[in-house]
Amino acid sequence: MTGRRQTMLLMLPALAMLLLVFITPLGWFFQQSLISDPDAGPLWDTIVSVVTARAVLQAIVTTNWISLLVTATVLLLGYPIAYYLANNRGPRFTLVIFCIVVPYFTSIIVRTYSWMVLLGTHGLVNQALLATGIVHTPVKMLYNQPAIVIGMTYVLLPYMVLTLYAAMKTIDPTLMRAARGMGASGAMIFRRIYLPLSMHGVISGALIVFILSIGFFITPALMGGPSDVMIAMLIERSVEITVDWSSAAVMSLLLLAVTLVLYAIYYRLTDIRRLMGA
Amino acid sequence: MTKPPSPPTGGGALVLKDLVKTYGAERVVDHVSAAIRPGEFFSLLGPSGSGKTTTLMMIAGFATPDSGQILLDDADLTRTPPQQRGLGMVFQNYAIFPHLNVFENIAFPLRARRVPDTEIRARVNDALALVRLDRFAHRFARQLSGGQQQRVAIARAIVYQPPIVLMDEPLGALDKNLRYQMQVELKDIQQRLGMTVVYVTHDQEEAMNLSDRIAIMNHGRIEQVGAPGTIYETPTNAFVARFLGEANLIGGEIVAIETGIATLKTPDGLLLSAPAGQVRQGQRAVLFIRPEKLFCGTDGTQGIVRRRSFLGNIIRLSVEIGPDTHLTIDQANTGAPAPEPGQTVTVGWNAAHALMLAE
Repeated sequence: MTGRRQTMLLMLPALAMLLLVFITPLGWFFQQSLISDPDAGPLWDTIVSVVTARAVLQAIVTTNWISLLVTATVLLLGYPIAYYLANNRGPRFTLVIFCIVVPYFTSIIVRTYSWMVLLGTHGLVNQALLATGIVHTPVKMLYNQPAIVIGMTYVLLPYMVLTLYAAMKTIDPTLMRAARGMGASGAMIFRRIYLPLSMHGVISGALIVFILSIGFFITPALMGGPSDVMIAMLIERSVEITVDWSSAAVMSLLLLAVTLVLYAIYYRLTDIRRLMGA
Repeated sequence: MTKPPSPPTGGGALVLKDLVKTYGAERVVDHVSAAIRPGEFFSLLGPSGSGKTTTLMMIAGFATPDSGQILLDDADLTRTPPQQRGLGMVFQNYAIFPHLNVFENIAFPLRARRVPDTEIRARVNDALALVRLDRFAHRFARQLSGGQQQRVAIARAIVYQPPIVLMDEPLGALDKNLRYQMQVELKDIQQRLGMTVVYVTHDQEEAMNLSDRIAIMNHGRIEQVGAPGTIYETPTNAFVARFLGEANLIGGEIVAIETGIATLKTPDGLLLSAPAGQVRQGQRAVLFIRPEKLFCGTDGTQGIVRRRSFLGNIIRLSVEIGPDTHLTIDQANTGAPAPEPGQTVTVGWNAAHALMLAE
């Protein structure tokens, strides 16, 4: 009992901080834009008009599509990297983890601009292609969906790798050895043993990356084309350009609700995993 | 009790020829040779770092010898990858797949061999009956006790009727009583199926209870191979004598050999006699005799009881027979009064039970 009370006490500063800098502004924003705003109509009408608007529906589709593409790409790239990390030690491990973690601590804007330097019309990749004669006119690699996916994949890769690595580290290597001794091929060991045992990491990693993707703003705004509008960009436009705060608030609520639902799923999965003693 | 088990499969014959394995500067396995007979329970017994596990890993295929050969029924396996050797293996921590239930764990090696489903069901059920886990087919490892997990590991290792089953300290994680019970079950299964088993352990009682023959390993070499009784009664050197059970080992110099009986002189001047074995005149040697072969009687060497330990089934005495020479005597706890510390006793033994060993 006292232990529990002590824990609550220790959490108090963090909770107060969260309340002050996150919950309060959020509440204030919703209150201002949806209830106190004299221009706003009845709340329900605003919600209906926002979620039926063509631009919003288009943005929801784009957001989900890009987030799915990014999640799949990050998973395909991240799984082998995490496997390598989980099965190597010493300088190899250090080198790879360094390459994964250092960008993680670098500003997202810096990382996005560095991709623009690489992919631009006069960027390094085009210069290399032109110099080697593979192409004769620069390839348009920026301001389209692939550019967004490349940029977001790079930003989100560490989340996937670190999550998968943590899951793979808990797999007992003697299981693989035992399976091999029982006559299983490498493909069978992966399909029947390693993949199922790392599956909770795959699901957790994919959820984290997807959750982060659907709220992404900077990378798609900088690297995407005019038609690649994600929901966060639409919110920004409503606030900055059309000054339609009530629409912005409804979209924000929508995004927040989806994020919370996905987070609840993520939380349940990790909790179940702990219950299973994995 | 249970369904009749599958008929004896007969085991394979395994020959290890001059195996050498070096890790860095250390020679972990140093010219190991052995011929393991079909249906034999063969143990590699030794302290940690003696090379027994590395030897087993080379048989399994998880380690490749630097030189030497491994032959299974005359076929050379030395460079065959583990998944193609077709051997059974029980690991120390069981290595049960946590996401598969007991049935699927045991079915795994059969699925790897693409055995048809109906046959898988029949063979897994037979194996489950054999290890008395019929009712646990749909449990997961975390729902089983240590002994039950152990049985799953054994069932999984024998379900595809491998010619040889390798076991790496399989009972090490169990408590003492359960371990003995599992030894009895394991031996029973091995005999019923006629399996060849190569068993690694550092527990001498376990090795003696289970094995047809034991190879005692030390520093990467096999010190002695033989039936448990033979090794116990007539060890070839002091290491084997000391490693397998309790032993009195009294060092000194051989001062005389007459009609096969050697006399050893200890540094504190005692003269003790025993069958000469391989020792020669003038050599440094040890006199070996088991504590339970010593008795307090009327004929023998005089000494003073210095310590008496009550160990339940036996009473262990430490008797000083010379200024620097002590003998350990184990008396069966038959209810007869044991000598008190400080008491003078006469320690005797049957000459045939003692042996001189080269140091």
